[in-house]
Amino acid sequence: MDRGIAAFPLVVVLSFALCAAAASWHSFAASSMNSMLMHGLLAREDVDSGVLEPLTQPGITDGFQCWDADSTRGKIELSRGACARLNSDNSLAAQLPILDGTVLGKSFPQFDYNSILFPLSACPSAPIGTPNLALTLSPSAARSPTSCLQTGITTSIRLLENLILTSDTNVSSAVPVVATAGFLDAQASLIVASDIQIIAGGDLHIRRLYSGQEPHAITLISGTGVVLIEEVDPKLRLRVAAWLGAFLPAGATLDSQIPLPKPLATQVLGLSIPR
Amino acid sequence: MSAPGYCLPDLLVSILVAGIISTACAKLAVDCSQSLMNAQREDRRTAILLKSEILAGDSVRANDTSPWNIGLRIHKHAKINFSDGSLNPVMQGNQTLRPKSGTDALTSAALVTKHSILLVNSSRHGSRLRATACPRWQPLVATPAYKSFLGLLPDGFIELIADQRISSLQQCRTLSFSFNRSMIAGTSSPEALLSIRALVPISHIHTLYVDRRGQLRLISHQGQRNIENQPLVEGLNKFTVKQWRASLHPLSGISLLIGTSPREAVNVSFASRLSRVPSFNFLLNRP
Repeated sequence: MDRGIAAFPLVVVLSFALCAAAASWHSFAASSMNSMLMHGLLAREDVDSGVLEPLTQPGITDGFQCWDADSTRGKIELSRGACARLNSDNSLAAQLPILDGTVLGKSFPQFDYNSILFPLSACPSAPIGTPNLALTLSPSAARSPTSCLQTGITTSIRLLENLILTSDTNVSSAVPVVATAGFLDAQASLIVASDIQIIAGGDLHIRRLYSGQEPHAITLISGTGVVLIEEVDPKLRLRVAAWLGAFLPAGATLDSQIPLPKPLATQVLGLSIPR
Repeated sequence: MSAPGYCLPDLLVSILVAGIISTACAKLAVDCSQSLMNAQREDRRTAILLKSEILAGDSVRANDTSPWNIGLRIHKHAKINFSDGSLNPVMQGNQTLRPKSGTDALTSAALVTKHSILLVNSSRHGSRLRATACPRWQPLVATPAYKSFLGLLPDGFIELIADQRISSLQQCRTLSFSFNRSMIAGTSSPEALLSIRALVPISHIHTLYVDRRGQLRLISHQGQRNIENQPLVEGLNKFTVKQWRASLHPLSGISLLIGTSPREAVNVSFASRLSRVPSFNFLLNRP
């Protein structure tokens, strides 16, 4: 009895000690796991912050580039990559009246089509599929599944669709830009009344390009296709950029001083998932 | 009457002392185990919230695999559907796997833009596309094998499934694709297939949601198929997602309300690192 009574508190103290040990062990295990999770969160923050830093540093080379940012927090090691297309040195291209992608390759200028095409215009007629065309489309050039038919141009046009001009079309003097994300096919005469930028994401074809009396400056751009002009008024001064080449009639007047659209400095292509 | 060597008062005092000590110790033990249980509950809750935060954050990070307006979709009120509005099979299958009512789901897509492909000479056969595919920047040597791709159009996106996994593309090669419903890309007409000029490999399309048993689950999608549905975290009671867009700069992200009980929830917010832009610059600039 005496020993039993003496042992009783000992048993209780022991069980308390066991409980405390269990609590400590649990607390250690749980805090290890939660600290691992916290390290995971912090490491993600680190790589998120570091991955775009190289873009702000001088010396990064032009063209297509990819790089990685790393982070170590506790036992967690994470890496996150980024890729960007940086505009190449265009000093050579800046002096040329015709910028031909098949010749310039990576030095062919990258244009900021987001600023060229926005704000978007609505198709003046109900969009149609692709009808018969006066040109054979380049197989790799951009095109839209739908086309807009238009007869006269009185305001700037910025279309997601292809643009087809089936008859002679007068472009009002208040129109500085005609741009489409797809191809542009002017199947008859296009008569301009002021300086203008005519820009197509895909092929750009004009049967006849005319003006009134003035020697207007015309910029013709095809981002992914050809520029094909069959007849042109020699009074007009042209500057052309075409990824797959420019086909101009003999006697066309070229002018390398005509400004091109805003170049695209850097195109961030995406970040990888942290691993 | 009393035991030899003991007198009754001694015995009573001993019993009283033992009783006091054991009561105190028992209380300590109860308090200790209660604290242990509370600590366990709190640690578990913290772990659930941290894991959920990491998973949801990774969904937003997946959205930054491209700068375009594609990748994140929020399914409100436990209704997981395809881009065309039709219900995902998880809504009609096993009852316990269906989303818990009152919760939201989050679909994200991770793209691999550096392994993009250019398409030329496309031809269409019903809802199938056959085209010559060339690597856009450099030969794709020993890349992960990609099965699904995002086709870029001037006015949208189409998810295409390759007939066979494409693990390397060192030069131009003829490939075949099919298209159907998608969790991220709008369904387009078969005629639009011929206008696709750029393909971007899809590393994964995931949907995070909470099932009826309170498990945070992850579905992997490939076109209209759910190729896996895995439990990730147990014990979630609240999971609502809201998309936000900054008014003064082109940043966006999501706010997440997560909780282990209906009464308490934690609000976490994630921002995309990249501002959202249309895909024209990618589509219309070469190379």
